Amino acid sequence: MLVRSWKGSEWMINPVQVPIISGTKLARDGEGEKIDSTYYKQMIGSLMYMTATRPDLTYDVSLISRFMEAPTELHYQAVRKILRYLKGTLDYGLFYKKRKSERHELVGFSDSDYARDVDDCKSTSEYVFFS
Amino acid sequence: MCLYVDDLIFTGNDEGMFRTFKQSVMKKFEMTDLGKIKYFLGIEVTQSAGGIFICQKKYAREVLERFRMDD
Repeated sequence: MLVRSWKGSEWMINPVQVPIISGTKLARDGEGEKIDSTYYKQMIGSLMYMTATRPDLTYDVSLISRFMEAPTELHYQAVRKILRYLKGTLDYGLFYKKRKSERHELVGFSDSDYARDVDDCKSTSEYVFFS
Repeated sequence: MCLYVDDLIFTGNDEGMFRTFKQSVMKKFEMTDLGKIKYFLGIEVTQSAGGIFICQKKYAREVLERFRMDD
């Protein structure tokens, strides 16, 4: 599994940059004015779906989601940073390479625990695919 | 098999089995066979001799536009 991009006719292997927002210390009581939490949640939700083909975003997206309840300008700036990084890496994706002299074998595993949380019925699920 | 509202994809390691499956569902329900997967739920798929590539370039563009990152 590699983060690669398709440049018209050839594959480019992209060096994955250092974590985008790890240099920023984020705390619950972030600096700056409070921002609209609905808008903040919409940004996070959109980025969460993006992690389907972008494992390089997973850490940062899960970090910013801790502050959904009462986001401030500082948290908002961290999200903007992720979006800026995304803008510069639009071609990134996952490449499942076919092994030489073998049949292409794509293997997938998944597990789900629906409505396991006794308080809010939230589900837990995960999956992994590799070749 | 994965069904999302009116989009359906399926795969398998037995070609004869999924060909039979396709024929039977196409007989039962009105649907169009779009061939090999290219796009599903915002995920773009490119299948080549070297392997399979998946990305969300189009979706990413929509996200950037929605949150005004087009500056």
